[in-house]
Amino acid sequence: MSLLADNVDTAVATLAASEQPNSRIASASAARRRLAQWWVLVPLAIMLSWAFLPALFTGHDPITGIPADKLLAPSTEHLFGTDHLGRDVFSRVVYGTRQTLLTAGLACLIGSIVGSILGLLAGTAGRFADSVAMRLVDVILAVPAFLIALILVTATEPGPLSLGLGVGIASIAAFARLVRTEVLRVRSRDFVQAALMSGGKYFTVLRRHIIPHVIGPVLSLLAVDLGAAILAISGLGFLGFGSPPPTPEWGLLISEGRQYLSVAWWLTTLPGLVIVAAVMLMATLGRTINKAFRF
Amino acid sequence: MGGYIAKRVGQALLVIWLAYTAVFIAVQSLPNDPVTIFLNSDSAADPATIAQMKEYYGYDQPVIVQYFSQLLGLLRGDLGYSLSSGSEVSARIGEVVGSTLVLAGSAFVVAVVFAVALTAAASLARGPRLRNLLLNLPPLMVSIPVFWLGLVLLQLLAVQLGIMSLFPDDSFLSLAVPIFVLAVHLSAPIAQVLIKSVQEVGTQPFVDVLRAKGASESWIFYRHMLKNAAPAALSIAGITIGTLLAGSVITETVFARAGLGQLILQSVTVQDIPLVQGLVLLTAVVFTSANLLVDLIHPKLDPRIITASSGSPRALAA
Amino acid sequence: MRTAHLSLKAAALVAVLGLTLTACGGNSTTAAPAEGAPAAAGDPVEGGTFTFAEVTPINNWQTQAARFYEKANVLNSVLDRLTYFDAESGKLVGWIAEDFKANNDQTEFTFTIRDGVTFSDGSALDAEAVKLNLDALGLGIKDAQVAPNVDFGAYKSAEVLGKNQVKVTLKRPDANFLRATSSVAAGLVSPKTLKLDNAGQSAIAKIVGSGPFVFESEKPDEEVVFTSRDDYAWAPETAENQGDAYLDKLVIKYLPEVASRAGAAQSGQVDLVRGLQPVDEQVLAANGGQVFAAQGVDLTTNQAAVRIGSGKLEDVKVRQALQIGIDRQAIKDTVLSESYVVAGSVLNHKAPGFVDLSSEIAYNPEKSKQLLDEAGWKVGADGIREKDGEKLEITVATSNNSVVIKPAFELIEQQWRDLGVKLVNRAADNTFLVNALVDDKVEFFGTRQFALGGLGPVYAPANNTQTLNADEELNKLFAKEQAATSEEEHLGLVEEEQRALVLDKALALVLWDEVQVYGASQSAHVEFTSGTAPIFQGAWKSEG
Repeated sequence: MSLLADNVDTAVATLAASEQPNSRIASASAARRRLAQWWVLVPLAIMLSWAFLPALFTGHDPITGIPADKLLAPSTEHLFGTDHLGRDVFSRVVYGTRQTLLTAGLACLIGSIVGSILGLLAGTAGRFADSVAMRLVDVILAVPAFLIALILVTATEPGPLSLGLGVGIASIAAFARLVRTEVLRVRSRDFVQAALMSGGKYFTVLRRHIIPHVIGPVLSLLAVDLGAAILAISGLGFLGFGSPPPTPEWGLLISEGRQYLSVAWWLTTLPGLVIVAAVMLMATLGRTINKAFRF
Repeated sequence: MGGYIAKRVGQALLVIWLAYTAVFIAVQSLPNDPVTIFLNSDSAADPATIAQMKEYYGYDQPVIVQYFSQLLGLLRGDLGYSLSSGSEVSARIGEVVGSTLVLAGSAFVVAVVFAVALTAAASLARGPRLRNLLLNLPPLMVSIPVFWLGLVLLQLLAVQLGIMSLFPDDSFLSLAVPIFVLAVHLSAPIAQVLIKSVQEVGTQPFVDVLRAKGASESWIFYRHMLKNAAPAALSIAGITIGTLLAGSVITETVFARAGLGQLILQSVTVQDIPLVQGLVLLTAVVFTSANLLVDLIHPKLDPRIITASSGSPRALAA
Repeated sequence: MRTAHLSLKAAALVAVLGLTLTACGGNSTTAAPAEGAPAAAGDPVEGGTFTFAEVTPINNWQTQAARFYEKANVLNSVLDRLTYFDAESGKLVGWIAEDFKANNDQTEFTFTIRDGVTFSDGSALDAEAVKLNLDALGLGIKDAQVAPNVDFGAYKSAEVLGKNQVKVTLKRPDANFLRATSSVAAGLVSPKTLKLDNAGQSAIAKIVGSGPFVFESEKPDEEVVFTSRDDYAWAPETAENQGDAYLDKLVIKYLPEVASRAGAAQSGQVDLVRGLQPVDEQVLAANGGQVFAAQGVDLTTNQAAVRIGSGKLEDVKVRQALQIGIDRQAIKDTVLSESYVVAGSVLNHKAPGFVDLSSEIAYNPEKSKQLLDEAGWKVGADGIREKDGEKLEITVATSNNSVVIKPAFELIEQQWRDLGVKLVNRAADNTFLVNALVDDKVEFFGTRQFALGGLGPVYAPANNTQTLNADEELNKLFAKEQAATSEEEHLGLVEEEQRALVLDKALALVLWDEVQVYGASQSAHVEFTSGTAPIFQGAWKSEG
């Protein structure tokens, strides 16, 4: 699964870099349209509030089940049905948001911050730094991403920290390559060349001219990376490297539920749909961010 | 060109060595050694036996000595002995590498074909609805868990309809379905890149000129847009090959197939260090050679690359 | 907005796929008897290929270490042993040793080897071959880095007496020595096999036995094919089939994915599959398959073996509190099935010397809380008990090969939460397990063990994987039991051991009797050993 994180990242990296300004939209309704593009924030905000105020969305206990109510099909009482211990699956999805965001969020932070720094160095600090940074990225790519995650989880224990780190390392490469490409693109522009020529300080040029241009693509990649990280964690859960129960987590919900595929389809399908929705919303957000930050 | 190739090969060797060393350091952080784990796997082993076997296999040596003796062995073509599987590392890898090559190789080809087809359909589609549906396929394809897709297909085809074997046999479906499952995921990022690149090419003036000249849309697509979009897709494909090997682990588990993914999983679980190292070496070699190949083909496809911003042939490939 | 629209459509598509799936298997949820309809009786049919799916591939087949099911279940049909434990009568009977006897103080054993037995490479399984095997089991094979068999810890030497007798001398008395010779891990191999190096002894292709099935071919990690040996004529004396196997071929395959196993038997793609999970028993039985529950008489019950290394469980009261803080019936009702029997001791109900302690360990949360209070663990602000600033947070490790152990501990975690005890459930995490096996700070090892050599080898050594601790009192008891000179005395001491392990010391929190649930196609006829291994020599397939 972690290969996906990588592939998606690279895909977005490339597409983020290749997105062209679209100047054709210049009608009177442009402002309204621009605002409407951000509709995607509404469902995402709801999901985000699951992480902070889960009790507002469900009255069931996510970790204590009623054994007699095990494997009930979805109903108005249990929107997503119940699992093998009689726990309400919807409440597990809602309460699982926090753990999911924690783990996948950490993965994205690591990937984006370390990756961006590497990319910036590669793009701005000379040929040697470029070469070193890019060989480093090659090394990260040359080791199967999930092997890194496996070793980390084995050496410590599966939890937000080790899983986040393991999955995060895998996406460093994508961010580094994206940022580097963007920096090179910006650097070749006249005004940056001029700033550099006229003896502008390295950090000033970086801050004023380069970072503002790089931030859009990075944010847009970040959005998709979060979805990819959730799936990568789910894949690790499937292979037996998930956080210990009973703490609910999206990826684990589907990987654990798949065992009951023949008797309880809802255990995988419904949380799976939530993930599909989240990933697609995130992808949409990524595209929207990308358009908004381009000029 | 010769100097360039030599430089790239040198870099590739450096990357392989660094990856090998990094993983060696990482596995030292694992809490135990292969002998202790192997002997204690289900019942208590005599401490004297453990000590004697550790000595025999060299796990009692200082880490640095172990590292150099491994490296030395490597230069002689000896990858070491895998205690957990009771065979030479090279023999163990050799047993399953074919299966993964078939699966991963075919999945890669299918993924590329599918990505091109999807791009063609999306670019040539009439009407914004169909086009938008097609454009939304890649994000959807990556958001479905591989194991879920695999299990659902198995239930449907093997259990409910009974037209497919649950085990790898020589039948068409038992190979085609795993390939499909793996390819679905693989093709999404490739398709995404292709679609974007094609769209980008589509906005360039020469396409308008061609249209004005009366060229058909499909002719423009195949002769010009796809050709111009190919380099971008190629660069991501290079990365895909390396990670594809590892990615087959879930597919292999679901479809009960032998393969490298399974072996990586198993080797880490039982902390069989020589096996882990052997596998890393293999993936690193495959990844770097694939990228080397892409880098060497790249300038041929798109001569502009040589003159791209930084002057380095890797400017866009990286 | 269009994007949202389409995402929804796509989502609906996925949902429909999910629904279709249930519709196909829809009748699965309707109740059905847990046991499959008994296969039609009749005379065994000769011939055919029998496909058996194990849960995980094995590539190291070293026979002395065949303590895993996935290994033992296959080797059981490849290797013969000196003796055979007949589960029905609860007695040890002759096999390759047509006769065996022990001296009074259980230090010398004489085996009379059956005439005319040969290994599949043509060499004779005679007294000399038996001696070489016993040496390998008792002393290990240094040159091939093969460790001794743990059940043979007391072994000193063997000598060939006359043409067909072997006398074994032990370093100390061991009343369980004879039973240990019936274990698959004590399987007899050709002397040529014993001379191979480590890689050779680990390769199924090179292991030569005298059993009813002989290796034919293998695809690593995918399948192993065996053929029936036509001249096989030395089955255990209680076996129904005294001749060669009815089957022509035996094919071993692997189904690591739990979700596929019921379907494999249901669709007839395998004749037998191990590791059927409880929810699938009904599904399979309702769809024309069979469900077999093989009782593991040779093994301990499933349990949380206690390690006191972290100090949190050092006080016996805490362990006793946890023992009665487990609602075993609820575990059976929720995550197990009718195929499972709630544990009454550390031994199975059918094991020799079993004593029923179920009333003493009955679920009693109030008493449990009281014991924890007495031990000084007071409920903290977050509901978890603490003492001297330390929380009562304990961890369990198990292998992922059991399909029921993780959900069982999920339920126990819930039950113990009410007592103010936090259980960190690392069940089914194999990577964690391999380290936990040698780490006495991991409080529980959820498992069951072959106890053919008695409870001693399982709990006595200082590095025994169950408790990772040598308890002096227990070890005195084990030594006494092993030196017992009459069967009556022996059984009495075995009972004492169970009381000590389960009640007085509460070092084994027992859960349910060991059972392996197999799924089978409608045409499969197969029985199982007391170690839950399928007996392929007596298996057959009805026609049509």
